[in-house]
Amino acid sequence: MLKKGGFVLSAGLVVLLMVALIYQIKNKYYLDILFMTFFWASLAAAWNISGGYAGQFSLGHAAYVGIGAYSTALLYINFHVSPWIGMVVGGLFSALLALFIGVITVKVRGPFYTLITIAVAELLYISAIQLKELTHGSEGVSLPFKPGWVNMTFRERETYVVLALLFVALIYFITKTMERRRIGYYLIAIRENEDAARALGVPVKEMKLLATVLSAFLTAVGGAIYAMYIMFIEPDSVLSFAFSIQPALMSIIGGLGTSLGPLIGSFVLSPLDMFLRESFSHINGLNLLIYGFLLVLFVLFWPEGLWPNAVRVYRKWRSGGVETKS
Amino acid sequence: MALKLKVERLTKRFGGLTAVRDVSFEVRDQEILGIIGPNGAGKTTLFHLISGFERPDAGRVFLEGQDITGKSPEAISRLGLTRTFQLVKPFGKMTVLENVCVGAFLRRSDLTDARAVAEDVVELVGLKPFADQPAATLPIGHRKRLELARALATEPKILLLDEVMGGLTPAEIGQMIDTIRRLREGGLTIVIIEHHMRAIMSLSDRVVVMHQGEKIAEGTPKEIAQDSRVIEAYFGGELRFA
Amino acid sequence: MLLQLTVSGILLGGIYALIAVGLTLIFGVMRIVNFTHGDLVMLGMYLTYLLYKGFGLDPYISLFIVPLALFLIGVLIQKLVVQRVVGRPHEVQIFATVGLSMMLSNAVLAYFKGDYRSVQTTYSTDTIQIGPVFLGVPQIVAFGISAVITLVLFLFLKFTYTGKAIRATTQNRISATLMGIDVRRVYTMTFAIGSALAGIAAVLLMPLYPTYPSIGEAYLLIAFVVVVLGGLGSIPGALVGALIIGVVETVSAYYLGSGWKQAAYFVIFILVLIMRPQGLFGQRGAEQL
Repeated sequence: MLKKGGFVLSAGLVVLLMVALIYQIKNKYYLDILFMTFFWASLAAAWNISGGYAGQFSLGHAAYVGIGAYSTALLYINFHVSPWIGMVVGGLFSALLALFIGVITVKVRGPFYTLITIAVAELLYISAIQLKELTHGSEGVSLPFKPGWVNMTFRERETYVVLALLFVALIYFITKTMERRRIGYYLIAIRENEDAARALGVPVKEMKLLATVLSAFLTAVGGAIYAMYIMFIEPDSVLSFAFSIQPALMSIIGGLGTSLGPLIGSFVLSPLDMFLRESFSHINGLNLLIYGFLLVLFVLFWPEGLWPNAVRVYRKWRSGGVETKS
Repeated sequence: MALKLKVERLTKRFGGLTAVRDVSFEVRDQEILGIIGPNGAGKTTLFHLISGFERPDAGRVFLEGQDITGKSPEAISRLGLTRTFQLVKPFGKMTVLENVCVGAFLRRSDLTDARAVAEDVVELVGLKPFADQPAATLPIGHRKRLELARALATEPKILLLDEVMGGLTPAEIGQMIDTIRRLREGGLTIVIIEHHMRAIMSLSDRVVVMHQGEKIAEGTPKEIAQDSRVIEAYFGGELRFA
Repeated sequence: MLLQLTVSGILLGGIYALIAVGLTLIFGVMRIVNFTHGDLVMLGMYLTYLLYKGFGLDPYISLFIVPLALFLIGVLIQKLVVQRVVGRPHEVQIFATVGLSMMLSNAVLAYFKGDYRSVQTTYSTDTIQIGPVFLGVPQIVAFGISAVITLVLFLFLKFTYTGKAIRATTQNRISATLMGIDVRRVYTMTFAIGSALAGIAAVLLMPLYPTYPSIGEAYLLIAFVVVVLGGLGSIPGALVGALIIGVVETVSAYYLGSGWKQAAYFVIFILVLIMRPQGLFGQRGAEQL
């Protein structure tokens, strides 16, 4: 096991190395793939905090992506508020919504929680289309191209990729830190057995709320970064069901409730997604068809996901069948 | 001796069935109180009512004089009353030590402190060799000990043990009895539900007998063993101590 | 106007009832929330469309084919996927059926593209007037058939052996097994019947509305709203809930515009789950599973 300092150092080195690599890539398409991979990894890692650790299976995280994207974009074009601030405002709005959902769903469990999150996200989607004065409806919002750090707008695609990378690293760091603290132990305990956790004095409601609120905040920040990257948002581009399902899918395939799982899920699926879109653009929905198939396959046969299984195989190989501690 | 726990006329109905009817008893400081009764006598429901997992239809529960009726399980645990479950509920993917840490975090906010407490408790119940194994891999006997260890790590004043000896081998039962005795000597108050007659009769200072949701007798193990109502209702006229 | 809207809403609700009853039946028996249910309706609509396009079959003739096909598809889905997740954790059930739903809707998308497909019949726009109220012929037929099918289902559950076995399993899986009921077979029958009901609804919807690959999501959400309103697992609840939601839909579409009509039932859905999670007819605690 690495010491804490060692962990921060090695993680920092990995990030630095990746930044250096990013600037070696000149191909715009590859940079795009890389940005999307980091972006989806960040959404998956954020979803994983509530879905994986706290066992709150939301399929409505598109709502938070949308709030983050719209808050940032609308504050920017209407009031010239820097996206860096808009991003935080969007995060806070999302956190508030998550708090509201958390409070009204205290008594419902399982599929009903999932259904309410779907309904809330759908409500937001409908509102974004209908409230034309605020959101410009289906016409969407175009963001002006005025490069500069204050505007979070850059000439080079590399900068966006680095930004997305740093954001993933931040969420990973938060998750890792949580795992070493009371909150991490509590969340996993709740997921594993809620009654046993309560008997040991774990404040279940508060912990779940905390996890969903944090998850919502981070998801909205991710949405804001995405909006600044694509520079044009409309209900279908930031509030679609894909933003709800894909983070969940990536977490499950990578490993639910593990800090690395969602990242691995994204590293496997995002390039696959881009490849399918590029190579089979004449077949609509092929990527989602395959996603659906993978989802069914994994939950039926490998519900633990890639990462935990990989770790197990590695340990077995290294220690000749004796379980060791990470 | 000071009163630790007071249960006053607790009643719980599920539909037409009264699971617990008008049950009262008291537990004194550092006492071991045994609760026995045939299956379906309402023992586990009684624990649910005391520990906050079910809300009683009538009656009150006092912990050190404070009314805790209707409080949440987590609040009651924070006040110093922790229970275990008859059907063990390990956090399967966490290691034994991590399981126990969850309990220890109730009174320790720092991981280093919590681990220190957890390590002590794990050693006390004899799970040290398994500390780094995922809880899901433990055999049933060890799971029962883990259940006890987690509860102990919350540093309770009073411990409610629900059949911690079920499924254990005779040797393991002997160890468990020793452990429970030592805990009491260390200042704990313990209420224990148990089917294993010899264990409960040798451990308990007093025994409460339940039958069909009601308390039918209360007294020292000796008095209980000779109580004709208990023998009649519970043992069907035949009482043997092996 | 309100009378007109209410009557149209009730007629629409009749079709929703078929979808919702299937969903609630499956939940009651298997304790599984089936996220593919809307896609079963979608499949049924496309089948009806294909039969019409390929063989010139009138939707009402397809009524004898499509539900049967859906029944078989139901058996297949049950055996391949659903049977494996019965009794497993929520997330497994949710994501297995969500994944399956993605597969179905996107397979159709890949094959048919995203265009709207509809069936033009001579009677699609026929109306008759009763007092001050104008009613579409397909709506009336749909409601009539829905009512008959519901009655048949009711008699089936009440009097046949399979029906009784389904009800017994709903009440208590373990005692049903002890009484010698083949629970697996009951599951398969239930899922297949639920799918066939979705197929009937699909045929009845086809002369009224066009179909597209992601339409399942809309019907899934409607069915959920209905079932939650009526109480999960309760068939009478689903019937009443469906009529209410039908009326809510026509009334809100008229007063708020069709863009907002979905919003109305999402709001109802959320409100019901918060204020009366057991629904109008459901048992308390069902929502906590």
